[in-house]
Amino acid sequence: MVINSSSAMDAAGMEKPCVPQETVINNVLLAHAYVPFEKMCTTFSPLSALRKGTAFPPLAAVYMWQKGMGEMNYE
Amino acid sequence: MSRNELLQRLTAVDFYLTDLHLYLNTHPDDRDALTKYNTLVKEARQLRDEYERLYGMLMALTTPSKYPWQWIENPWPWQSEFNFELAGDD
Amino acid sequence: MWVYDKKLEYPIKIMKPNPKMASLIITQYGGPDGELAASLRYLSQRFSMITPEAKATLNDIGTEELAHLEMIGTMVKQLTKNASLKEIQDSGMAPYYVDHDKAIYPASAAGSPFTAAYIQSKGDPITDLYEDMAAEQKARSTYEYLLNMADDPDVIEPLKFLREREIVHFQRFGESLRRVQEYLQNKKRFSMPAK
Repeated sequence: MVINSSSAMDAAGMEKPCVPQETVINNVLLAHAYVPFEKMCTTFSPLSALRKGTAFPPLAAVYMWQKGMGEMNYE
Repeated sequence: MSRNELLQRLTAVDFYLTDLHLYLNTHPDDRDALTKYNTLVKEARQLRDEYERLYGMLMALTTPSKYPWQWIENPWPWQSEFNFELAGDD
Repeated sequence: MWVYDKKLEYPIKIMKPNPKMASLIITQYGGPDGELAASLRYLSQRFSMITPEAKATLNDIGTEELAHLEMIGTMVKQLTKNASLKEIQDSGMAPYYVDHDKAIYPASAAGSPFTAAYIQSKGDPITDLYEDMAAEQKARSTYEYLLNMADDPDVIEPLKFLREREIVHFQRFGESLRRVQEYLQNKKRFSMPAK
């Protein structure tokens, strides 16, 4: 599995933006679950990280929760 | 630096390192992450040394103690007086 | 082995007693999806793990869960510290109080004592990793339900922190699963008899 350097250049010599995760997973098998690999791009400052509960912005952006969401029906 | 400020900075850097550590466990080949870790470990060491010099022991195996034995000193971390208020907003 | 760092992973400074909240938060100490179950599960399963990444992940997340256990115990302690007997009675915490006073005892919010039946250590690393991923989701949901019951910011902020940690742990277990799956597939490929 190849991990791209975060300063990869594309054909035009422009710096490609860092994608913070795998977007394609190949060679999948039935009856197997696949969580995409995260890739570190930018991180929060230590104090921000402490407040948010993680140093990694993409992990703070999933499973957004608001109070009272518990009153929603899962149907 | 005041005790609360020093403890806040150390808590933050140690936490950042913990999260980075878990990332490195599943990404051992990520050079950038490893560099970041090694840089911050030095800052954490300095903050920890300064805190322990001024305000008491944080870990027993790696720190000398003044007299009498400092390790037992109050407050302990579960007491509210031990903790700082996480300052400011995001 | 373990070394104790004499500070909390995240600061807890609760000024207002709330035995009702304490009687709910205790569930993340000794309940089915709590931090004791998590640490015991991961620290037990680590012995069966294959691949260095998975061993490290189980070892270190198990260790971090002990720090979270400490935070939950701290929250319950601070929430009951200055509560009067009347406040305890009115809050519904009286059944816990008569058996434990204001002590910290591993039980669920409903009063069931902690049991190893809450965890599994199945030996098969794939099986164990799926259990770990499920455990992190259950813990996340529990923190959300606790947050729905809370209104003190001094309680809400640490609970939000703990909830976010569960999401991060899920991601790391998922990544470990990928590595173990890949390892086992490659092993099979290279040991298949040549035609």
